[in-house]
Amino acid sequence: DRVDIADQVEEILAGTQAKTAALDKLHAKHVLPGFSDRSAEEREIEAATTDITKDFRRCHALIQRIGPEPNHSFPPSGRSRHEELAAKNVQRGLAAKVQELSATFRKKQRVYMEKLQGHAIRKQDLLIASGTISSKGLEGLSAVDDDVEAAAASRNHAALAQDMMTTDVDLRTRDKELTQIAQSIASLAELFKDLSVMVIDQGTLLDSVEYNIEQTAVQMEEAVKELDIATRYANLICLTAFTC
Amino acid sequence: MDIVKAVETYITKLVSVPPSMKVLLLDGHTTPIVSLASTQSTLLSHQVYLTDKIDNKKRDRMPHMKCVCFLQTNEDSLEALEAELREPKYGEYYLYFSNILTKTSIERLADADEYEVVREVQEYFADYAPILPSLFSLNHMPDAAHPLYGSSPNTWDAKALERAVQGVTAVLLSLKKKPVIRYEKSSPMAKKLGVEIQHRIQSESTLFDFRLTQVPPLLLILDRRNDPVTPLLSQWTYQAMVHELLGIQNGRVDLSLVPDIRPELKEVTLTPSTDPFFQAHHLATFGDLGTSLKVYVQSYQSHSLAHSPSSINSISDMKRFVEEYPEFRKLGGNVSKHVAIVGELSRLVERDRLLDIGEVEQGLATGSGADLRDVQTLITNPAIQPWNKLRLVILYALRYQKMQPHNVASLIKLMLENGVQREDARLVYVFLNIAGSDQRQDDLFSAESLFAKGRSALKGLKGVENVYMQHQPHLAETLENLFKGRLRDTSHPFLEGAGPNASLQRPQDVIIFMIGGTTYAEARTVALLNQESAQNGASSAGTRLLLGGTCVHNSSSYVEMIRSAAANFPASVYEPPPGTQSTMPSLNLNLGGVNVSLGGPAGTGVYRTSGEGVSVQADGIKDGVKTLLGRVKQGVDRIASQ
Repeated sequence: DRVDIADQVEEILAGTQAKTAALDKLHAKHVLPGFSDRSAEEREIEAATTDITKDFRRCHALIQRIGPEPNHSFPPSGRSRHEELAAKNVQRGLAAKVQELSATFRKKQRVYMEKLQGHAIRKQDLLIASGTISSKGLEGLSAVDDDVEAAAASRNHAALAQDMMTTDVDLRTRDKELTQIAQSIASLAELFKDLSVMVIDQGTLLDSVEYNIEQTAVQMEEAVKELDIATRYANLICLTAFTC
Repeated sequence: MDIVKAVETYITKLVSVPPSMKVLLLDGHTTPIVSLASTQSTLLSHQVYLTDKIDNKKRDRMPHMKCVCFLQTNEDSLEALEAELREPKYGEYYLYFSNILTKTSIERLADADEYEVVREVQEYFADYAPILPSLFSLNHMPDAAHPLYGSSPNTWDAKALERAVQGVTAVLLSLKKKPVIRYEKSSPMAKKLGVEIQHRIQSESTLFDFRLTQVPPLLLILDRRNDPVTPLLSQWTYQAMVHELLGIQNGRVDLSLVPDIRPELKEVTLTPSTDPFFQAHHLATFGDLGTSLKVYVQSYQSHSLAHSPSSINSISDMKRFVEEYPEFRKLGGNVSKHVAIVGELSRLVERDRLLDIGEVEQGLATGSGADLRDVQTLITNPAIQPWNKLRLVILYALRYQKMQPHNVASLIKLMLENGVQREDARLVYVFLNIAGSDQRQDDLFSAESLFAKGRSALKGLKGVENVYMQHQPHLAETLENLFKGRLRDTSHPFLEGAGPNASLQRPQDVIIFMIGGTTYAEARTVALLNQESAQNGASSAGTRLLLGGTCVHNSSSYVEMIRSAAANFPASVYEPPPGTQSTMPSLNLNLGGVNVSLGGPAGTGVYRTSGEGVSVQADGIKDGVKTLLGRVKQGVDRIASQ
């Protein structure tokens, strides 16, 4: 049931936040210089990253199941129009939440990637990654672009390095790591885009509280009309098919 | 003193509890208030998954949901709430009211709560529409059913007075201000409101028990009747223009009548808090707006170019992401929204010859004056709508009522011959009787308003004298006097109990309330003065201003308010004002055709001081605006066709 699904999503997100905090610590440790064998550390990071990315994907899959049933389904489902509307809003609300959390995580990955490459990190990125500010609206969009491009560049670079058959084991490991992060960023960007279909764009009429209340009233009227029509059709079917 | 933030804080508080799925029930009064300070996305992020009206009887039972109600303390809402509690549709109820809840009301609700579903009852004083950080409205647009005035323009309608007392009290409570009160001396309504508010403050002394400041905040109560000119003028800054020509209702603009409008733009939202472009340019003059819009369109263009396939082929596996991002749609949507609005504004300006009218209006409204012949030319021009002719003659009458009553008479006759109905024409007399020079306490047209013009914050175009922006609302002068300690007790007395030295102290926080409605032009003045006072050295330094009104007018809503009010006043309100009966024609509708000899030669234009230079300059600005808009439009069309 939808309430359960919504609870599940909230639960997963709570877990994701804890996992992200743990990963932050691993990242911080890993970028420090060290001489010992760090492959265990790398595996841990990789596993955590995959885990978190999967969590977001799971949320997305769950959210898609909440949505309203297709309109004009016949026979009409047991759900009332108000429930349908609530379902749609639950979907929108959760989608926005997952989008925001995944965007913060994506930014963390980006910052980590730049650190590994020894690149300079923009202050804005750091602020978003730390959750101090959330990138919304226009910034949110260009942030996606930007991350995708950075990830692609880093991936191309890594691929190039592997082509050259570098014998340096450390360098090869690092390139492998970079490729994985780039993949994670790309995957998160895709998720962001998938979710955006369900999220209300800020500043549009759809985002107006008053407009939504008016629409609720309109939909209720339509629902009554449709119910009348449906009842008439149902009667007609009864008459012609002798099924009742 | 940020009124939008104040309401936003209330709303965040009331939707935060309980932390579970919930329904938000509002009434007709609280809906626009919530809508102006919050958004659907914000509500969703607080798990408000349904928003509905308390009086919607078709709501379904949803026991798994909890219910937050935010309602006005009016009888209808209380009744609807009682009915709701007697047959609860949701699991739990959290009740919030936008104003002081009486003991009786609380008892009534307790009686209705048979199932003990109510978890919380609180007062959150968001009882006014927060339009801008320094502008609020009581959303009382008077009509026959909801009048502002009683049986004369000096008296309140009882309900309207109570509404105003509640609204202003709520503003004071939400900002935690216990003010001293001053009012415009010529206005019995301003005094009455002040007395009632002070009485409310005293009777609710526990609510108003705020930490005292050294100089108490000031509540300055003004009456629209003392400045009928500002709301009658054509507007030339973005937000004011949109309201004047298209109308802004609770942050929404209806564009459905715009020719060839795209379906998704038939109605748009226009609030600074959700629209960064509007936030940056809502105070901009039309000319500056054109420039900014062009830059905005270009930035959109460059954005789309940067991601055209050719420039990002190196990341082929990811370029599909750059297509159809919500932000791209949004950026594109916002660009096309503003282009549509500004395009429509410029179409209306051109269609209705508003630049020609505006130039004459500015003369009439300022020290420079206007030539009778210029007004006559406009009135005989068939391309100009009767409505604008009426507006011009009302302005002319307000300006030259005493000096040129013959000219006023001849203009009334002329507009009757040129498409203006008698019923409308007699509004000229209504205006003179209600807000004519004998009714006003200050001189609106004197040269002294020039010094307000000298303020850097109030100048229209930087360095350029903009012919359309000469007029400053009378409020600017009143505030200037206040800043300089020159606002006299004789014109703006204190209510009793303000203390002997009250007039010597310069208040830091000033709340201005305009009975009869304020305007976006005045809101702009206040916003600019606030910006200025944030800087050191200004005469207003450190002063924070907040403006409010019973409503926010454009010229047509203002004239309609006066029209509907006049119907309840003594019939003499439709007659020429005392002392001018011999000069001005009677326009009594019952007398049938009027055949009055209208004496007096045509005016000679002695008051026109600006000479030819003005029109040359005006042409320059006009052309600038037109070509600029043309260019912007072309740019957008190009993008659309790509």
